Amino acid sequence: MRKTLLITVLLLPLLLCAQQVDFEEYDLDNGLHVILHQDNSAPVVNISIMYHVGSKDENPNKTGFAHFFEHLLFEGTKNIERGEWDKIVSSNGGSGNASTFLDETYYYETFPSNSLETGLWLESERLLHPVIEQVGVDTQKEVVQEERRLRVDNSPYGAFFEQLLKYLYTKHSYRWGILGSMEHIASASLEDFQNFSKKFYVPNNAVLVIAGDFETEKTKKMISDYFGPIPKGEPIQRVKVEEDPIETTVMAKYHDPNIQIPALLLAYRTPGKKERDAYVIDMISTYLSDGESSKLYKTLVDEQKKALQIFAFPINAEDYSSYVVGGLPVGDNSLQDIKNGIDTEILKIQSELISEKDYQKLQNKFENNFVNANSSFSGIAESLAENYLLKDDTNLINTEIDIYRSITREEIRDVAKKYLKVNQRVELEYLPEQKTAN
Amino acid sequence: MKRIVVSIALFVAFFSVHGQIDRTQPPKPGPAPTINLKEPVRFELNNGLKVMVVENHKLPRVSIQLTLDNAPILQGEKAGVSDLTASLVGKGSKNISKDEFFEEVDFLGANISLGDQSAYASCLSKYFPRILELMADAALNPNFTQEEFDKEKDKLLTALKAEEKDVSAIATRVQLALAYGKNHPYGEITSEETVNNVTLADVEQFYRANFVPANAYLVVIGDVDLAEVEKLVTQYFTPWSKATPPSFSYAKPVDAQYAQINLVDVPNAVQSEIAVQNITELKMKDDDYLHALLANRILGGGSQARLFMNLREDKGYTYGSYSAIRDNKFGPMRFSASAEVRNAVTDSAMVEMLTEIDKIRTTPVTEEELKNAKAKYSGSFVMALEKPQTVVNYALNIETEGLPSDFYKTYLERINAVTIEDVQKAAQKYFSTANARLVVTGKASEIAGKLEDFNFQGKKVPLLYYDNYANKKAKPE
Repeated sequence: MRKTLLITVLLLPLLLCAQQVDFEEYDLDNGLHVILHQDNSAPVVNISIMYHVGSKDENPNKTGFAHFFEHLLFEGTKNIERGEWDKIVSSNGGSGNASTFLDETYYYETFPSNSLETGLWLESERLLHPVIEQVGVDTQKEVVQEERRLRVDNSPYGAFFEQLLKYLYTKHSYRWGILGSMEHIASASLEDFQNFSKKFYVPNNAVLVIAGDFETEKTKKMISDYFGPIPKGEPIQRVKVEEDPIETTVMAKYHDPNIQIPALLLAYRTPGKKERDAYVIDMISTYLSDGESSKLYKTLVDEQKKALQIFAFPINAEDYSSYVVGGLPVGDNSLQDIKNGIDTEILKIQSELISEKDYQKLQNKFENNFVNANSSFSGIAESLAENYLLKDDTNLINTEIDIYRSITREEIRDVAKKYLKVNQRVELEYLPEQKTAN
Repeated sequence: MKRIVVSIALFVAFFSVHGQIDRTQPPKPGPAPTINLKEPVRFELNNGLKVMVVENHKLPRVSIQLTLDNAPILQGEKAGVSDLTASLVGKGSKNISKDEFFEEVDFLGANISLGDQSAYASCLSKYFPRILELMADAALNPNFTQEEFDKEKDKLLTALKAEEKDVSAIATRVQLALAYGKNHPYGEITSEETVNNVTLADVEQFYRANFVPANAYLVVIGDVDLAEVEKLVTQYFTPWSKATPPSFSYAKPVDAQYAQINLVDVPNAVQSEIAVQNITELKMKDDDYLHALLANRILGGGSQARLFMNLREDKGYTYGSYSAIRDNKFGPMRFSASAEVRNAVTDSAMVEMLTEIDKIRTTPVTEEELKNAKAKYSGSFVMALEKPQTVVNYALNIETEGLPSDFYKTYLERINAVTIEDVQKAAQKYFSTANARLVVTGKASEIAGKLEDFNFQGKKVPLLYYDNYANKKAKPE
């Protein structure tokens, strides 16, 4: 007995130690927020910038701009000729890319640590004087249309994200998705893009994260040299658009020429990702569909053999999140069979407490996720940026697990009751293209 | 207190005076970081299982990977038996029911997944002994039942049906079948018919024959104690009976006799998937292995390579165009350059792809291109050290690919020694335009017209039609 106790006492601080992600953060005078996470265990460094601009910030008549602009920012700057960007990254042995989502745009590079300065130069050039000119706009218009064909029009089930957003939101700018309208992009002028840059690509709308192997003082000096001279922009006014609650089930259909097996998707509007209830929804989602012993998998796929596949995932975003549950029927089963199966399980969460054992299982899963989330410099960098910019608390990287730990079984039941109502959801039947009648 | 305030003030002042930097040129990299290649600890069981362990205590977690380095398996008229075996293993064992198994693994927040010739698990280190035990039990004592077999077969048939209109799935299937031939492990096609030929007994037989320790490697990485790993692995894997997998014979893949277009009609396609492909024989231990990698890198290895710069950044035909060279110790593989392009520019994109392949064969690459390609490989080599998995991958490659023991210690040196001439020779040896197959999967009614008259360098490239299962068919009326 005493031996066990000793081991526990010894192990506990060790585990906590291994978990802690240390970081330092400060602002430059121009408002650029800087976060440094130093770890010299491998000669690798990650440089990234997250801008607080996504598809949600677009004008309804000019959708797709945020993503399009991400493409444009690889076209070159005053000091980097068109076509040179990727060459500079790879000639330093690095790699990088960017992504655009509903609320944010994220640019990143990873380098062997001796090329940190190159990364700072690249990202500061992108912010200080991007070159936005006609030739780049024309080329990227074609490229983005091909991206849309690749990801949506030619891809099985590729349109479901856009379709769900369209029905879930009627006022909020989440409604047009990320790729936006090809017509809007095609008709946009050079000036439109330049204005977009001036408004959103300013240091006071961004966070710079350096994670990995570097010397702190030297790095701070370089950050000041490269980013300090960039002028501060106008503050950005953000108005959260309030959606009216969905009161009657929204029934929708979509036909996809690339599929043979239909899918049923049930989508709910849920709280923004900062809210405690969003964490509860994460737990519900895991309870329903993560792992072969999860409720939906076990009943619909394994025991009743109604579904080929079952899925549930939250699309977490700043103003509202969207929670999607769905499945593909197997054999002769119908979409209605899938819906009934899902509703039965959701009704159970709403009316009874989940078992003590299932609750402990959820806690164990989240502990495992927490340990694995911080296993790479690039992963740490992205979490730090997102926690600061979209959740207002950089230290969530260390404390998020405490939120999950504090969620009770009663809360899980109550949140399911509050948000997962049949009359508050979108039911999308995602169908193969209809055969034309003879 | 006062002193602290002063130092903060200095700090702020320091920040508001920006140093003079030259923005017009890329900064020079600092001195190259020193590289420390660690070796995993190894031991072997009597049945032939080789074990490698890397202790890494940065995070309280462990991963366990079992790999069988067996030769490719020809499934023939029972194609699908390997998929079905993969679906049926890892659902409990003869000692623990499926439900109890999944319940316990999920309860521990862990993952265990088995394939027809592999197993993987990951967990927090506190659960390592139990998870290793469960993984070994599931891998060595699978419980094949008719009920599970019927269910998995239904799912596989539904999944095949789901792919029927999937342009990308059709394209991949036909590209492989045409490159390797349909009677080759990498080219054979799993269809409704072949899946219906498979029985539960076939699955049991497949597992017994192939899931054997002769070529097996078990890798344990993470927050573990070596002595404990040795004890537990010996305990759980000693019952695995010693055996060697069967060998298969099949025709060696060969190139087309002449360059040709192979068109697959998918009426719902809004993009054409193009693959320009030929057969190559490349092994990691070949002297020109790195030459071939660099040649491919310059041609189509990323977003600064020629294919991407030409087809995307210059022409706007595609979201991305890349090439891939593949090595394999067991036999020839496919080299391919690929792009997904809109219907209207299908033929133009094909011309550009052929032109780039031709150019890298006939014209030396530039100093700058070679320098950048080398830098990319050197950088990736350094950056890979962030992952503890890397040293194990290196050790595994040395062993399974028959490489000299200093292969990775001299890697950077050997990359640096590659010349422009080496790259051109490799391009000539491994990439082909004269014997290339241009496999195009797309909407024939919109693209076939131009492809009928497709010329490259003044020579007509014949157009042949294939169906979704790589069978030759007549030109549609």
